Amino acid sequence: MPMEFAYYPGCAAKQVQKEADWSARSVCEALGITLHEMPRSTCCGAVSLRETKPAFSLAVAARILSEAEEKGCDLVTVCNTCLQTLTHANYRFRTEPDILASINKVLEESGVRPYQASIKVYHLLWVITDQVDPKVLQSRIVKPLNGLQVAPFYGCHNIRPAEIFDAKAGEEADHLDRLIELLGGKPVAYDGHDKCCGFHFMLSDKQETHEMAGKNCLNAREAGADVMISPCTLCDMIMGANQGPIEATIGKKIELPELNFAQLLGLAMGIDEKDLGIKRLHVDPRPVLQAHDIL
Amino acid sequence: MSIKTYIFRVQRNTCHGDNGKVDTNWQEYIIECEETTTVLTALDDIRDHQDSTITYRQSCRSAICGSCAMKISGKTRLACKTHVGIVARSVEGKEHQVIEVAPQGNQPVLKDMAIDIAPFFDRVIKIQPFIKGGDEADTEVHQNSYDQVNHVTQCIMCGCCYSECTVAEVSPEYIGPAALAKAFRFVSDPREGCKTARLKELSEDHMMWSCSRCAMCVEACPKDVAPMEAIVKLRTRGIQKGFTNTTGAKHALAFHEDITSRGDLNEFSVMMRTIGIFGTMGEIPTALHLLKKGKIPSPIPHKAEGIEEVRKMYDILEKNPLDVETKAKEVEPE
Amino acid sequence: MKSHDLIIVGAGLAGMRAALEGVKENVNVAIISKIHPLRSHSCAAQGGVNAAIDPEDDTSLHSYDTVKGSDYIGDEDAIELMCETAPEAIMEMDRMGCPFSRREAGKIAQRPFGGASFDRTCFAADRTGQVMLHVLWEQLVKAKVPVYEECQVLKLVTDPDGKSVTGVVVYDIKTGEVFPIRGKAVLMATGGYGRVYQSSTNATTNTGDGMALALRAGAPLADMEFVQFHPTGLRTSGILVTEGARGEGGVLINVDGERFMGKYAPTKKELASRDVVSRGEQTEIIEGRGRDGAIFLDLTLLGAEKIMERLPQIRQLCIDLEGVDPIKEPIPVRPTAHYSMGGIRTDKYGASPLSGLYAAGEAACVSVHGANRLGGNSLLDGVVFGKITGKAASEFVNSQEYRIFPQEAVDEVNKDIENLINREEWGIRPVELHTRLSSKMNAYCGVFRTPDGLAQAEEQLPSVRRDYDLIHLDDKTKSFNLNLLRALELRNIIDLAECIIKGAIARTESRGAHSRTDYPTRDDDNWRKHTIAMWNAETKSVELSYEAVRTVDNPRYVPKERVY
Repeated sequence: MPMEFAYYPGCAAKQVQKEADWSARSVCEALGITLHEMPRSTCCGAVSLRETKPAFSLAVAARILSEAEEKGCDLVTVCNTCLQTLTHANYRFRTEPDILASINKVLEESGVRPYQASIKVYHLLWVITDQVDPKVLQSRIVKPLNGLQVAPFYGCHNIRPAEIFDAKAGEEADHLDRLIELLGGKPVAYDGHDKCCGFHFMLSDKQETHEMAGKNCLNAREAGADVMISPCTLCDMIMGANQGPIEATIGKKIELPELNFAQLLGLAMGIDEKDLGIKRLHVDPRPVLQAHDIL
Repeated sequence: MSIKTYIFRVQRNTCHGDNGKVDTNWQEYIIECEETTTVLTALDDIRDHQDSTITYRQSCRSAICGSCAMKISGKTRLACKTHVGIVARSVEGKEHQVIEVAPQGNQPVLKDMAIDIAPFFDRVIKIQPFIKGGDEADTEVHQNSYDQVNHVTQCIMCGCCYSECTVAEVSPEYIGPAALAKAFRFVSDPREGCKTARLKELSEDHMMWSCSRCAMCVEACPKDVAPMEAIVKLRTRGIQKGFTNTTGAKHALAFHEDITSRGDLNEFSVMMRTIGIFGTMGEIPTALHLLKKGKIPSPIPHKAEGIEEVRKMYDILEKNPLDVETKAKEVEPE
Repeated sequence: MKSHDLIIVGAGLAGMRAALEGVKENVNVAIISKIHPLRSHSCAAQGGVNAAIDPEDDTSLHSYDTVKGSDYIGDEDAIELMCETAPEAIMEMDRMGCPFSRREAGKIAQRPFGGASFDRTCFAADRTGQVMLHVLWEQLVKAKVPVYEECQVLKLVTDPDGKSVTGVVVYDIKTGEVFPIRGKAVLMATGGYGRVYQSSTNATTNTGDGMALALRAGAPLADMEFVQFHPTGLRTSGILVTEGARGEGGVLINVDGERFMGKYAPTKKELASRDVVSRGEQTEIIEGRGRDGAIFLDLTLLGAEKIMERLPQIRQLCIDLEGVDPIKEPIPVRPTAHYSMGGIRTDKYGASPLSGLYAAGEAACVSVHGANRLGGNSLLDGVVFGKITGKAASEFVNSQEYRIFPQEAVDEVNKDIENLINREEWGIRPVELHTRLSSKMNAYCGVFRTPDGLAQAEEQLPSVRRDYDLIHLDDKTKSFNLNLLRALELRNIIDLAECIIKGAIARTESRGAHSRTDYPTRDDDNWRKHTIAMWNAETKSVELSYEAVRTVDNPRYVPKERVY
C-alpha cells in the first residue's frame, strides 16, 4: 500500500533546522513515502498560543488538520512540539464534540473547510518504525552503524502526555531505540533519554536551560555515547546547535555530535551527506562515523 | 493469578546528620508475589520478613494520603498503587525480573526512601496556599464555579511531580509544579479575593514562566492533576491581567502576532521581541556561532496561503471569545 | 523547656480545627503529629459530611437519626450539640475555601446516606475528607500554627499528684531526639484504633496512640468494645469498597455463587445496615461458604458500561489493590474493622475527667456515635468537636497557670527507648507480635463475639504482654527508626486491645456493633450504659466500671427496636 501523508515540517525545519526537513524528504523519497505539501498551513502556535489565545490556538490547529484531511491523508511532522500541539488539539476534537463543533463554526465563518476529526497525527519516526515493513527498511540499509553507540534523546513532546498520542508513548516509547537497533547501532541507556532539552524556557531561564541540556548530553557521553539522535527539530537546536554556548555556561566540554534521527537514518541508507545537511551540525559527527565505516 | 519471583533492588541511604552527606548503597531482596501485588505490599513483606530496617513512609495504602511516593524503576510513583508486574524490568545477568526502589528526586534524603519533605512544602507555603479576602472575591457560588478548582483539588501533595520535574533538577529556586497547581486552585476559585495580586507574584522569576513544559509532572501525577495544564492556565490568566512584561509572556505573545501576519513563526523577530534589542545583542556570540552553520533565520519567513482566513478566525474569536478550557467532570461520591 | 498553652496531638480534621479555635482565642497553640498533617487519615473519607442545612430539614431530625443510629447509647446532649452546630461548622468550612459540590441554584449539594431520614450529606466531589483536610491545613498555614511534624508523643505527663495534665514527652521521628513540651492543656485528636485489628480499612498509622497515652495517664476510656465493621473491605488489604457499589446494585455471593443476604435481611438484603450485612457475611464465612476468609461482592451483573460510568474509582481500586477487575469477576471482600466508636471519655465539650485533658474526633468518646456510627457523621464529628473542644480547651488554658512538669517523665521515656534499642539479639520482632494479636482480635473480637472466642482473646493477653517485654529491634539507628516507632505503637495497641476484650466480655448483650452470640438481643434494662476502662498502674491492667448515658428527656429518644 502506498504511504502518503500531509507533511508538516514546522517552523524550525523551515527556517533554522533545514537539515531535518532535507533529511526527512530524502529518506521518505528513498522509502517510497509520498509527502504532500501543505501550503496553507501556518505555525501550529505551540503551547504558547494555547497560553495567550486558547480558542484561537484550537482554530489554528483545526485549520491545519483540515488541510491534511482534505488531502485524504494523515499528517506527519518532524517537530515534537508541532506533534504535541496538533495531537493535543486533535485529541480534544475527538473526545469533546462540543468543542469541535464550536471551533468548526469559527472555521466556516472564516471560509475554512470544517475539520471532521478523522485523521491521525504522526511523527515521521513513528511512520518509519511502526508502518514501514522492517524487512524493507533493513534491505535499504547499506551503511549499517556497526555497533555505533547512539544515545536516543526522545524529547518531551512526542511522549507526554502519553494518553493523547497515536503511538506508544510515555514510558513505553521505544521508537528511537528500535530504530537504532535496526540500523545496527547500540542504543545507549542513560539518565536523560526522556528528559527535557529546555527549548521552551530558553528565553526566560537561559542558565537553567543550558544546565538541563548540558546534563543530558554529559550523561549520554558518560554512558558511552558516540553520537546522540533526536526526533525533534527543537531538541536538535538546543542539544546540537546550541552545544557551544551550553559548554560555555556549564564550564565543561561536551563535544557530543547530535543529529536528527532522519540524518542518521539517511546516512545508514547511503544518502549523500550533502542532502542530509551533515555539515550544518555543530559537532562534526564525521570522524566517529568514519571510524565506524558509515561514511 | 500466578506467583512469580522478583528481585527488589533497594537503595539504602544513611544520612550523616551534621554535614548532610549521604552514604548510598544498593541491597537486593528476593520475593515471591503476584504481578498485581502492589510495590508497597511487597516492600512491607520484605520489611516484615526479611529486613525490618528498610525505611519508607506509608500510611493509607489507598493512594489518598500521599506518603509513599518513591522512585520505582526509574520513575516516581505511589508505591501503594503501583503493581509489581508493571515495573518489573528484565536485567541482563539476573535470573528474575528486577524492581528498583529509590527515594524521590530533587529532595534531600534522610534515610533509605524517606526524604526531607520540608523543602517541598516550603514551596507550597510560599504561594500562600489559602483563600484570601479582597475585592475580587465573588460572594456567589454556582454549580459550575469549581469547574477549574476541581481539576487541581485532587492533588494529595505526594511530591511525585516535583521529584520528576526537569526544571527543579537544575533550578532549586523554581517553585515547582505542585505549588503552581495549588496556586491555580486559588486563582480559579470564585471566592478568592486577590487573584490579580497572585498572578502578579506568579509572573516573577522562578514562578510560572520557568516551567519548561516537559509534561513530566502530567505523566508522574498519580491523581490526574496535570500540573502543567494548570500552569498553562495560570499563564493565560496572567497575560489577560496584563502581566506581560516577562520574557515568557512576551515570547508567548509573539506567536499570535506572527501567525496572523504571515502564518509562520518569525524566529528572528520572536527573539527580538522577547528579550529586546539589548538582550538580543547578548545573544550575539550564539548568533555568530549559528551564522557559521547557516542557521540564522531569515527576517522574512514564508507566507502561508489563505492567511486572511486565519486573521478572520482571530477577529471572530476576539469579538466573541470562546471558553475552551478543559473542565473537571462533575463527580459525586460512589 | 518548650511550652505551649495548648498542645494538640494529631493533625487530622479534629486536631487542625481545634488549633484554629485556639488561634481565634489568642492561645499559644501547637500541634504535634506523627505524620505530616496532609497524611492524616481524615483524607480517606469519601462519602461526605452530614448537616441539616436544607430549610426543609431540621437539626432535631438529624439528632433523632443519630440517637437511633447509636442504638441508644450515644449521649443525647452531645448528639444534639453536634447536630445543632453542624450547619455552622459546614458553612465555616465553606468560607475557609472548601469546594463543596453545588446544585443548580448554587446551594450546597446534599445526598442520601445510610440511616438518615433526609438527604443531608454534603460532599466535595468524591473526595470530601481529602479537601476538608487540605482546607484546614491551608488555614493552619495561614494562621502560622507551629506544627511538630513527624513527632510522636510518648507520654502524657501529669503533675506529681496525677490530677492535672502538665505536658507531653515527644520523640522526634526524624532525629530520634526526645524532648518535653510543657502545656496547660493537651487535646488528643489522634484518631482511631483500627490497627488493633489485622484486617482494617484504616491507615497503618491508626494505632490509637492518644487513647493509650490518656489511659496510662489516668484518664478513662469509654465504650472501647464498639468497633464498626465495614462489610466490604478488600480481602488482602482491608481497603474499603464503598457502599455505593451495593447501592448501584452489586450483590454479595458466597463461594457457591448463592446470593445469601436474603437469609439475613429479607427486604433490604445487601442494603441493610453495616452491622447486619457484616454479620451475614461472617456467618457465611464461619459456616464454610467463603474462600480464603472472604465472600464476594459481585458487580459483573451491572455490566461494563455501568461500572465504568458509575463506579470508575471503585473499579480502579480493585484493579490496583486486589488485582481483580470487577467487570470480569466478583471482588473478594470481608467485614473489616472500620471505625472506633470508643475513645477518651469526655463531656459534651470534649473535656475528660483528668483536668487539662481534652479529646476530639475519633480519639474521643463524647459520645455521639454510641454503639454504631452513621455514615457522614465522622467528618462532622471531627470538625464540630474540633471547634467546640478547641474553644473549651482554649478557655480553660486562659484561666490556668503552668504546673510542675516532672523531669523524671523524660528520663523514663529515654529509658524505655534505650531498653528497646539495646535488647539482646533474641526475642520476638514487633511485627510478629502485632500480627499474632491483631489476627486474634479479628477472629475473636470481630463481627461476632462468642463466649469461647472472647475467652481465648483474654487468655492470650498475659503472654502478649510478656512477649512485648522481649521485643527485639533490628534497627538501632536514631534517625527515622520506624522499627522502633512500630514497637512503641504496639504497646498502645496492646493496651487498647485489652480494653476492647474486657469490655466485650463484660457486656452481656448485643447492641450496635457489639454482637454476642450468647446474648443476641439488646438489654436496655441492664446495659444502656457506657463501659469505662481505667488503667490500674499497680496491676498493670485495665479495670472496668460503668457510667449512665447522658439523656435529655426527649420522648423521641426513648429506645425502640432499630428497624430501617
